[in-house]
Amino acid sequence: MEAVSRKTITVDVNGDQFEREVDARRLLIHFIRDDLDLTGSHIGCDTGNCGACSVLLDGTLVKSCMLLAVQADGAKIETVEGLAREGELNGLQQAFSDHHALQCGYCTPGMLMSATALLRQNKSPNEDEIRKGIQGNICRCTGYVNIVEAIKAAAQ
Amino acid sequence: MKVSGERQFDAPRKTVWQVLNDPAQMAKTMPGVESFDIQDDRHWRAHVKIPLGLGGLRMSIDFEKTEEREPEFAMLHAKGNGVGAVMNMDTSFHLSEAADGTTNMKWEADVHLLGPVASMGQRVLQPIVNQQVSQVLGALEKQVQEAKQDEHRA
Amino acid sequence: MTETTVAPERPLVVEEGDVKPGFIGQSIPRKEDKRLVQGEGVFFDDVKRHEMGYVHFVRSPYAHARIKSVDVAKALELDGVYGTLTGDEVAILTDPFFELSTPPGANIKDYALAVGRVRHVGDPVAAVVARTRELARDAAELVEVEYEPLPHVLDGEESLKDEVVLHEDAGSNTVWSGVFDWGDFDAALADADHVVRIERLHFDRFSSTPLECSGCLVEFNRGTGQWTIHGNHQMPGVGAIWMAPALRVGIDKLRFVSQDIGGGFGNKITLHPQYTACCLLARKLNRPVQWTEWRTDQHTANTHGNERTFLDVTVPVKADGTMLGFSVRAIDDCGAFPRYEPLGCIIWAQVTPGCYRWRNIRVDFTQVCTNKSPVAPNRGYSRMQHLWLTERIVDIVAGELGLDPIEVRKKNYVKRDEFPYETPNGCVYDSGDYARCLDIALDLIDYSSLEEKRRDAESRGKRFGIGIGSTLDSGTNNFGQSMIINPELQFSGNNEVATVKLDIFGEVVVTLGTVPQGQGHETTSSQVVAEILGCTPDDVNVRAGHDTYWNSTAGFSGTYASQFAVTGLGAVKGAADKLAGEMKQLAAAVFGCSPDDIELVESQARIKGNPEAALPFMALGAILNANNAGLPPDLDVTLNIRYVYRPQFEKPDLERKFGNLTLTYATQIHACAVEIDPETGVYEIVDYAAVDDCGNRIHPQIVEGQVHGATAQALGAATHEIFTYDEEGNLLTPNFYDYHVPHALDMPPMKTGFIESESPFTTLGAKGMGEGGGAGIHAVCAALQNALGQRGEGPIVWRSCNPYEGVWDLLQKPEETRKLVSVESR
Repeated sequence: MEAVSRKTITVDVNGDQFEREVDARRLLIHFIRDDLDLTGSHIGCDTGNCGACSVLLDGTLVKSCMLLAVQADGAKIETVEGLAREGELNGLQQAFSDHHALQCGYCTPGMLMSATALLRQNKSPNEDEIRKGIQGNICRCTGYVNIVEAIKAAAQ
Repeated sequence: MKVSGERQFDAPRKTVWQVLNDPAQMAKTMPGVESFDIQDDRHWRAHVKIPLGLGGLRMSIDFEKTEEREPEFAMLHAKGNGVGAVMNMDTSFHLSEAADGTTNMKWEADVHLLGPVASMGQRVLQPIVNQQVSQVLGALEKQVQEAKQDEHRA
Repeated sequence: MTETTVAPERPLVVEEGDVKPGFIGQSIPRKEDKRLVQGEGVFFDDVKRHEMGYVHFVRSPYAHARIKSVDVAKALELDGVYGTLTGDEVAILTDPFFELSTPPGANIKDYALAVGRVRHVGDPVAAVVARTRELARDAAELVEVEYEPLPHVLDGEESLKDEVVLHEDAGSNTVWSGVFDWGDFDAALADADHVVRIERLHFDRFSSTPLECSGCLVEFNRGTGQWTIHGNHQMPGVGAIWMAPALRVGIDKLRFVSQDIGGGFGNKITLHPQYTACCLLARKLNRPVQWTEWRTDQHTANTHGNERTFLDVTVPVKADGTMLGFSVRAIDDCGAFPRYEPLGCIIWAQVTPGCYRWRNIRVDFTQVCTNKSPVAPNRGYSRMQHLWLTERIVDIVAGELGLDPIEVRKKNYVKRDEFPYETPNGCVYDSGDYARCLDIALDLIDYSSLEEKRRDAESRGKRFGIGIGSTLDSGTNNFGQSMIINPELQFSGNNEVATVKLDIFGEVVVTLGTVPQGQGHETTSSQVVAEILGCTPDDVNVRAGHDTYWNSTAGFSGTYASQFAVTGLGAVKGAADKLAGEMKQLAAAVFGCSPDDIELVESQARIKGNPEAALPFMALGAILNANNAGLPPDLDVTLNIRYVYRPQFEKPDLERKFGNLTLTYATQIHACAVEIDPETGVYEIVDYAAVDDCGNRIHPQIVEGQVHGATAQALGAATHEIFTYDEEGNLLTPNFYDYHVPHALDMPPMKTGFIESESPFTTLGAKGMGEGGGAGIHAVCAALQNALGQRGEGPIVWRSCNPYEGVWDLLQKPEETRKLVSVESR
């Protein structure tokens, strides 16, 4: 077995600075979850299809299971843990609760990050734009009906 | 998956037979061979890298000659193991003499691919196999021509 | 895309003034949400322990092979590898898991790892534990397994021939078989004006594929010999019944803990093999071990839903469209190991005649093993397959005899005034109004403009079809039905536990026995407790998740089989009622009055009519727990009530296979309109309505959420989701690349409606619900049939999953499926 190369990386996650040495082959999602212990972002598929691991990397929505941790060196990362301020839910989170847009809650962090990215680009998306905005996120509980309603409500 | 075909070689049957039955020469026909060990005249092992999407699939393949009727027929069993894939292949070829000192080869192979790579790659497998086969046959043609020239020189 | 909710014209909730306004029936904010929207839920994969090792399973690439040797030496040489486990070790350290079946199934030997033989692609042959996930995976690649391939069998009917036998000990691939014969089918046949015969129907393999894969973190306590399993098992009580004897330990040595679970849908009921392997590793290596299943492993080797083939369906019909019953030969393919099976061989009997008044039914049922992934009770378990059959029967009969599928349904449905209705096999449908649900569904999709829509679609070159799916979601099992399968089994009835206590600072604490995966149990429990104790749901602290050591579980604890609203909340109500009684007793002792004079309001116990004489909950908690000198010696209160809810069931009559198999029957009637492009087979669901009747709804928003989700899963299963194998036994849809589940853009506009037919058999008048979405599969099949072929012409929709290419095939070769159906008219 070949030796695994390692590299020290620095990232900003939700405003906090972290410096860690990681295996070059470590996935960004495993770095976030296992090394930084920010377990809000989830893993659902290993193939980039489900979006449970969605985070914002320098403002761009990415699936963190499709990136290596070393690719995030120097980047600013936003995860679900950064949405609420001092325990106060933001408008989008509140709308998800109000509209019953989550059941088991496993897809929710990724879904919230996709919706956050969408609403930053488009302050008042229509239903079709909302559905396009979350098409990279799989939810197996809700049938998306209430998720769409929640994002609609948060946009208003 | 079964694949088969026919190929004409501009060389006598004996020459073609020799190339096909010399592991060292056969090794040169196989794409992506990184090393090759001959255990005895019926068993040999190749380490190959098969191009498959990202990076390629490394496999070690054990060949065993299971049947032989010189100079017209041989049958081989090949079993390959790699990360995420297992391959089993039975292949045979039939040589017959054709007009003008050329040789006709009828061949067939039954390829079984197992493991995650087989699950994922099933839909792209046929073109990959076709590509590999055409490379092998192209290289075989070259080996046969070289052998023929060597014989002339000798 | 909009969502419309239709309110019932005739609300069946309590009359005005009957009961004070309370929390039951209101969509209060969910207690679970605050942590989950902040990423603060705790799923099993979030739990970490110092120096834990990561488990990776080495899996078979063969569908069927003898294991000649397993060599872990090279894996162990790798730096950072903690240890391994092989099938040979498992065979020494454990006993096979017990089988539910009679022979031949009873003789199957099922272990935590493959012993001697692999029986499906993905069957685990060894496990490796290492310092990191990546290392474990590397090391697994270094385990050398030598296989001798064996012939395999992938098809249920083929498997029946026993030319290839999976389990030598059983000697046959048949797990279980039996004939169910109710009413007088031969007389019905003689009495019929038409006999419709359907040669073959096939319910395809799929799974609701929860987004969170299976897994666990297992700690072993050497001092006490006890394992703690932080996992996502959704039926740990039964998991422990499998695991403890296999591990040769007492059942209390297994502690199951879970907080949040990322969906289950039945696919997390049979995790005992993997969990047992992890228990062995934690003990062997003396360190916590963590296993997170990869998505590909979940699809290839966790569980699938049951695949079922229906042969020789025979339906006697009267001239007026009354159907007298049916007979069928069913072959259920359970994959390589039965595990929870053969319970699926009886579970369908909860809904034997579907929604219909059919009295003469004969079912010849056989379950077989094949070299494919094992199955588990996927949402709608076994009833879904059977109800798909009943719905295909109705639509094919209607189509062949030129009857209106709506009118035929209404004619054959059990009528509103016939409830409680006893089915031919002794099940009791508690309440409902199917015809009314159908009318609401038809209103929602604007049935009156059907012909106009059809003309419009046809003018655009499309084929238009409309279809109905009627289902019953039977909830709260009588486990006595397992004795119909195997009279030796000692299971019957059902139970669930809840503990409600008033703590020292006046805090109301609820501990559930259930294992929620998104159904909002914390919320609905708090509604029930608040209503009974006279406080608000915010005052009620419901512990999140499940822990065996909370001592709030019983044998059937878990979250499955549509039962929380009945068993879970039944237990909560029972405990809260008792606690309320004790609080009144205590207050009465303090005030020196009768408990009857005490009322619980505004988080106080006070003397009725005298708001001044009030003890806040805090005072009650403090007095009993910390300041109890001087209380009367005969005051027998603990303010800590553990209550076991036990529905009233009898053991079934095993001879006649007759009895009440389940307590409640929620109804789902779905209606669907499709447009098919005949050039390509591509179709679109252009209108969709789901109407639900689950009795009194505790939390309407949660109920509606279940309807949405179950429908989405059904639409996925109807259109794309299918586990397809190649001839080698490789699964071709091993992850979300190839296994397409609905995305937001795939979902049609969904309209919902409801009625509430109170259940006479449950404490809250509620019924279990959440599994009824199978209706979506039936509705899509019916709509495709309506669009493709009617009145003896066109193809027959004979499979449950109809992807576009399948519809294209039906369009290209209508005669191939047309010949599956024949009508004999007298």
